[in-house]
Amino acid sequence: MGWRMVGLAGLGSTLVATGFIATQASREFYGVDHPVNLLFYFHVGVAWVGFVGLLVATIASVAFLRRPVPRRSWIAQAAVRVSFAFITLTLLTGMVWGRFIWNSWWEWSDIRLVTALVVWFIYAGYLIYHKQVDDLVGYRRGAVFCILAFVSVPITVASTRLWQSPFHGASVTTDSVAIHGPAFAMMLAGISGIYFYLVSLRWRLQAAEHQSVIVGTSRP
Amino acid sequence: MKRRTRLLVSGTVTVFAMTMVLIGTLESSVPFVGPADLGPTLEGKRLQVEGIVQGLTVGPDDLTFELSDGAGATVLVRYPYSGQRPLTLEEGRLVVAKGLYRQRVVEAYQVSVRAHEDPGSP
Repeated sequence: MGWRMVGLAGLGSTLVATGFIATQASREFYGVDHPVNLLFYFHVGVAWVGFVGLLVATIASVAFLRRPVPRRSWIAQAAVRVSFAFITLTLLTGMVWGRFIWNSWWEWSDIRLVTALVVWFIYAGYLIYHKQVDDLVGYRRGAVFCILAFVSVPITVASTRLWQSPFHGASVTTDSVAIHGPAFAMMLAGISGIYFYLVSLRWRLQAAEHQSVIVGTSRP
Repeated sequence: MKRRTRLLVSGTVTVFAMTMVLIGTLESSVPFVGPADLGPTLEGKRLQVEGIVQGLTVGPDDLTFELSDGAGATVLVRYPYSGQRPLTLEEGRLVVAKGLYRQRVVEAYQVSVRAHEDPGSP
């Protein structure tokens, strides 16, 4: 019930933020006045929440290695699964924005895009791996995978500062973008609420599936 | 998930990843140059030329403009397009033209605009 309220509050906050953004926020970014710029709020929101979710998964994985309770692995798996969906949305919305503003769906010379895609592939590997294991040994390997995979996240976040990024500059800390602060904060809070609701839903579902397997196998 | 389905999913993701890496490798292997670097040695080669758009002319089915490095060197770019003209492709924008360099002209198949690096643009 508690997580459902978080999810509903998140959905409400996202909808209100969308209304604010559609009516109040400036459509002009980098000298271009176009409605596609408003995608920024959603694009950056799902990216940040998705990456924070991978940190949650890493913490849950560390906790699992310290004490191998299946629930900790399920939380990590659920967090990665939802983050993966969010990062997919980040890539897709970024591609749509790029098509209008860069005149290009994708730029291989841009370090932020390429590192984000690498993160996507790494965690796709994690999810595929977990589709094939359902025991503590498998969970342990998955936890190690998850902890090592997280190295790719700060690299992606800092990539535009670590290397020259021809197309992808800083999005929030730049004078070329006039962000509607309250709307962005509301969008971020809303997406976070939705994220944590989805994660709770997923791990409880996995726990229920596991329970049903145990019940099923214990029958004569 | 059944073993066959798992293999199918894993196989599809692997093939997709390999294709992406191949495309990325091919794209990034195209030399990245400025207008001042162009000369007979690069004649007939596929290049990525970076510069500032000047003298933009809009034709019925192509855009023609000069790319400048801001230090006097320029090169002519011809960019065929259909449909709506690219939004940000305008005078003073920093762009990367990808295409074939032939007889002192870049026949571009793609022109990407570096919007993030153009805070002073209109």
